[in-house]
Amino acid sequence: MKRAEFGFSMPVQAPLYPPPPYDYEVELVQILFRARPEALLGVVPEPLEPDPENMVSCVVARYPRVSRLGPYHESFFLVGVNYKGRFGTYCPYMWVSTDSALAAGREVWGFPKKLAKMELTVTGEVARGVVERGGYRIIDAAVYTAGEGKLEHILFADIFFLKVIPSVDGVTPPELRLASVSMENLMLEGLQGGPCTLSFEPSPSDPTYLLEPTEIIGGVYCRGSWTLPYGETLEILK
Amino acid sequence: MPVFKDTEQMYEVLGTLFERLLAHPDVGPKLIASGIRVRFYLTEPDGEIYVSPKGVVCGTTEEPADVEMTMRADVAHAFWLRRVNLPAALAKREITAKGPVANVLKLLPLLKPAYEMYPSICAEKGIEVE
Repeated sequence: MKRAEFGFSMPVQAPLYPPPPYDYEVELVQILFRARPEALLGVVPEPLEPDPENMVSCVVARYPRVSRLGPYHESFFLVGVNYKGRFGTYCPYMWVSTDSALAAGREVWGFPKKLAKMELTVTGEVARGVVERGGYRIIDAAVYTAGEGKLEHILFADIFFLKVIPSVDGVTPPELRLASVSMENLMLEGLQGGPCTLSFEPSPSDPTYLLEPTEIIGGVYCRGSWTLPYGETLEILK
Repeated sequence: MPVFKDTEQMYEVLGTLFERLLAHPDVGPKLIASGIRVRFYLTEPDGEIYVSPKGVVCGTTEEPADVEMTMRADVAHAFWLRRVNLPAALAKREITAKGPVANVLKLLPLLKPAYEMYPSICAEKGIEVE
């Protein structure tokens, strides 16, 4: 196989995923809450600093259509942070339901994705997202959707992430790349919201429970679309 | 000390931002197609900026708006520099948005191009960005 014939990702003769950007159709539950400052210090890597508001967003999403990547489910946390005076969010945990989404997220951007079982359902007036991994229900997020969602219950900002690339030889230090990505063509429709609940079953491998809410600010359920483009490197950490 | 020395300078900077967004090859046509009309009430220095598919008006106008947003000019400046935690600012009423949420959400696609444009507009207009 000639170099010019290599695909975008491994295996190069039958790539697992194509190059970004990816266009998404989205249905999601998002719950915004505050967590203990000490808990946030435990998941936010330097040089990022947790924002003093101690806000965390927990999202469970269903993507019925994703261009060239196929449909999948995803769940993630976003922590409000500051980087050199710029506000953004840091993603300490992310789970997906397919191998192509897992590999693309980890290899291109550095999203800390793991595989998990998840579902997003709407039953009556309640939208509920559940994430299970290793037999633990690590996220159970539900929103009563009878009211109109509020803007102040949505945490959308650039996403910062720490891409860790271990060395092949085990001698060279791993590359630690702090990067960011900003969604494009973001559209949200039919924002619904109301009282919400959020719980995390303690799991030793996915300790979401350490981010237990001290205050639930609010939750929304909505549909929409966005484009996930390439990100940008902020710095290589020494 | 406020970022903008007077209303004229604020109009020069923020007005240019919205004019360039309307002319942006990607988001401009979408913004125009959405038909959304937004009025920004700014304070310290005081002023109004009205953005609609027809263009940008810096100053008072009787044109109807679908969304009205109110904030200090310094907060607007910080927002476009990506320094504002939006849900916290909304909760503290540092930014208020009046109008159907569905209309406010139509502004979301503007964010990324606006964030990218704003620092260079500040530099052009002599506003220091630390």
